[in-house]
Amino acid sequence: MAEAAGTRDAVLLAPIERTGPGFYWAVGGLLVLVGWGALAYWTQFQEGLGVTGLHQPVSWGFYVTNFVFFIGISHAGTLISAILRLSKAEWRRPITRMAEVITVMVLFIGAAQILVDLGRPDRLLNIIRHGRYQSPLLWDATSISAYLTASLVYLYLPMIPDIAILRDRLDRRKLLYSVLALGWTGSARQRRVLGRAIAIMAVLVIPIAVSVHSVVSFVFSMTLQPMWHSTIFGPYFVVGAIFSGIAALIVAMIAFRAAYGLQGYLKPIHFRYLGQLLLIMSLLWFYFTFAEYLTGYYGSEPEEMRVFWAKFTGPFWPFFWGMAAANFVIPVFCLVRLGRRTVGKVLAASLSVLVGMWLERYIIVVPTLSNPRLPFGEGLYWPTWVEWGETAGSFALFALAYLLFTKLFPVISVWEIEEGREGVREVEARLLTYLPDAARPEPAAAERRG
Amino acid sequence: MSAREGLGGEPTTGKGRRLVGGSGGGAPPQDELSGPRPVSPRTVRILQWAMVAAAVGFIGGIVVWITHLIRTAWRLQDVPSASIGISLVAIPVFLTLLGVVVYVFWGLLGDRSEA
Repeated sequence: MAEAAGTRDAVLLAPIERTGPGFYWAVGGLLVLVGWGALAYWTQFQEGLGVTGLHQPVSWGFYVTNFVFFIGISHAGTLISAILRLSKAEWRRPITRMAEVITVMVLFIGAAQILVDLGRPDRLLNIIRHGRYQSPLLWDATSISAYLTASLVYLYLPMIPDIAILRDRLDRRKLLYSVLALGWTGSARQRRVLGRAIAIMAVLVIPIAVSVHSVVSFVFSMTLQPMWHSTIFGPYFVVGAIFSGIAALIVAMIAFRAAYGLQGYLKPIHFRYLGQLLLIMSLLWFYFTFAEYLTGYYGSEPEEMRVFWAKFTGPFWPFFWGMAAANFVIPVFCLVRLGRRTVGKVLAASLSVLVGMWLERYIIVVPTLSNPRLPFGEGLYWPTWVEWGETAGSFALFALAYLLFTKLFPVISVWEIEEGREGVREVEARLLTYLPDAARPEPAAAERRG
Repeated sequence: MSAREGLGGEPTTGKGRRLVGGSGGGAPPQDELSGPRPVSPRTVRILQWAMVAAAVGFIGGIVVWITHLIRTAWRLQDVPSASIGISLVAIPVFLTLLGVVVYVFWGLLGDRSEA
């Protein structure tokens, strides 16, 4: 396997073996943004949450929006990768690793948003010592811990054979690769153990991923706040999460395809399939959004309608209609015909969806708090430079962590590509089993003969 | 970064946007093939078992934490049914994850046969 990687798939290992000036420029640029985020957080830590735009009644703003957005993006990986793996979709092979890395990175960053939102991070200890399971916030903490653990394991297991290739091939970081390779030699027993473990994880991770975003939605829907108290919030959030996750995955694929010269691995056909998935999710997202708003409108409950009109024609209309355009109109326009310039169209749709889904999270969190059911008085939310800095820093930290990962490990699974090449006959045989048996006569023909 | 220079530092090999590609498709630099530096197998083994211990400690810690929350809810008669109900799902999930991790470590580290 190592030999094969040394010849045919050397391009996958090239970013690990050599580092060019472009890498340092990218890291430098991202570090500037991360530094801005760190400065913003330090200011908030010193001065308190008063330096942010958070106040009564809007006590959740950018931080909780970012939390929901990042946790949503995390569905890119594990869920998409697990579904493709279980359904034996052969085109998954160059995609799964990238997807799994996104999950792990954004889960860390998403969970950290809650710490930032707390203002005083030491209060986290109160949750550990005196947590109460009646609170959906604690359900969140539990399910995100489970998802993070499962995603880490699910990322690591399929990396073991690739780490062994790096251990055998590279001279640097020998200790790291030797430890992480777990003595992998590729023996039949090791393959069996690893294959079984990956299969178990692929099954396990799907319900965990679905539960995570359902529970994130429960944080809102278990309250009696207008336009939050909804029975479809669970599936609505899961659909939105998969939608934004696919978009994030496509953007990451296109970025690394261009940066690392992976055109031979990430072909237009991959983007076509993912683009079709994105289109389906866009339609599904529109259906849920329509159902959610129509139900609220038809009920015409006064508090509910205040939030409704605040979104449609009130102070939040640019965000609401921007979300509708970015999540539905633009993606459908870009993806409905993917004849020529597939990659460009899919990229445009994905970027649009990422913006649209962030707006959607914002539109869910802020307008309801601005127009509360209880007589607190209305209040608008204007983020300060602290929230902007923290948001920019979080996105940059994600990109930086992803970039550093690609300097340590192959961003495309080398052994799975090799396995795919070797398994062409097996796939052909499997395809034949899907078709009617040619050797056996059709019942109708047999009847005619009879 | 110029258009012909990628994050991996290799110039393009001619087809426009191929930013990284190894030296013409394969061989790593000579200095990386000239005999890898030996790593003490004992150190490797100790660190590998430390990884297992960390996984057991992390997941075990979460299970202990959930159990602590049940006990607190029970002691205060603070709707213990909620804690027990959620724990009935959460604890088996974490234990299954731990089982997979231990199974992989045990299965891989216990087998040193060649491919």
